[in-house]
Amino acid sequence: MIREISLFLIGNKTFFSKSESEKEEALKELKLPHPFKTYLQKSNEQDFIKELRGLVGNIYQPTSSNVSENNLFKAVLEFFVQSFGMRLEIAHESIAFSRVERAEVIEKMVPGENVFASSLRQLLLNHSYQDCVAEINALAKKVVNAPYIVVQSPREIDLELKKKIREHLYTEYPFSFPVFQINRKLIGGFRIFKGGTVIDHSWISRVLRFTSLTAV
Amino acid sequence: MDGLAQLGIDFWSIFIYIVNTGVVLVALIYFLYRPILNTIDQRRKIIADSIEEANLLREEFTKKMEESEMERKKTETELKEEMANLQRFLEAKRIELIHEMETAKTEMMLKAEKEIEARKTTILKESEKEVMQMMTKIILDIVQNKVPEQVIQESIHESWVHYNR
Repeated sequence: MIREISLFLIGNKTFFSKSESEKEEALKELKLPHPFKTYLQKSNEQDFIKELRGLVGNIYQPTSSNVSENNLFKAVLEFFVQSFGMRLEIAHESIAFSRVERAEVIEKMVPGENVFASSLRQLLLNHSYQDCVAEINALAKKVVNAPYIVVQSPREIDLELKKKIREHLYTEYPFSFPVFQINRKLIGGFRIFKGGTVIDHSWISRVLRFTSLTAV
Repeated sequence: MDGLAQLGIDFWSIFIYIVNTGVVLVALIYFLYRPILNTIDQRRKIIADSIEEANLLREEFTKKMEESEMERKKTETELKEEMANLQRFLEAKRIELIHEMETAKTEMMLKAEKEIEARKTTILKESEKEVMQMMTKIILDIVQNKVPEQVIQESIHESWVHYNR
């Protein structure tokens, strides 16, 4: 991503002196996801350099660097939460496939020949769902102290519904990456843990509520 | 006169004899009779005094005896009164104690009743809890194992609809 942005800025040396509409026009040639384009469109040169330094510093010294409220990191997080999330879910669904088949699925999902797309494919192919989610949430916690969101269901939720749930949660917590877990004890429905609260629509809670009500 | 002399009667001697007798009488009266009389008088006086004193003492004794009798009677009356008071006090105390015992008995019975009631409630609640736990277990066992996959998937979608309301 840094490489792609750097190459873009080398080719557009006067980018930061342009107006927002000119920036938007110039960014059309940049083959990066929407959050990075929005970031570059709204950012100025000084902030970009400062935040790029923060990002690079975090890569080399993750424990000592301060990335809190870094907008470039926020753009990275937004990308992971928005468009990468569903790709990760699809890649996770193909976990039972062979490596070649998974690579094909991922190739279809993340097309493109640039370094960014290639890195994403490698990330999806070589890392587990849990690893990716843990890393993204750790980053979200570090950058914006985003709450940890878990969606529990008794069976695997289909991708369409997962997408809807993600989109809904994104409006509320744009930097939190919801984790989908299977908990067969729920019997039916689902349960969402977010920011210290629980929204429980599970059957188990209904059964327990019913039995506790009849016990009164 | 001579004839008297011849007879051996001598007037002079008679005179002297009379004088001697007189002297003796005077001496006796003066030295014996009068002190004896005086002594007798004194003795009589002492006896009279003693009698009088004895009378006084007897009167005083009688008075004391009467006073003592009165005192005894008064004390006896007071004692009887005290005894009556004591008896009344004892009776009151007895009634009070009986009342306290009755109250304590009632309280104990109430407490025991309450404890029995509480224990009964606890046992009932425990039983209800056990029944509910068993019911929950049975319901969960049925629901967990007998619900078709399709229904579970639908339940997830329904929950999503419910969540969005």
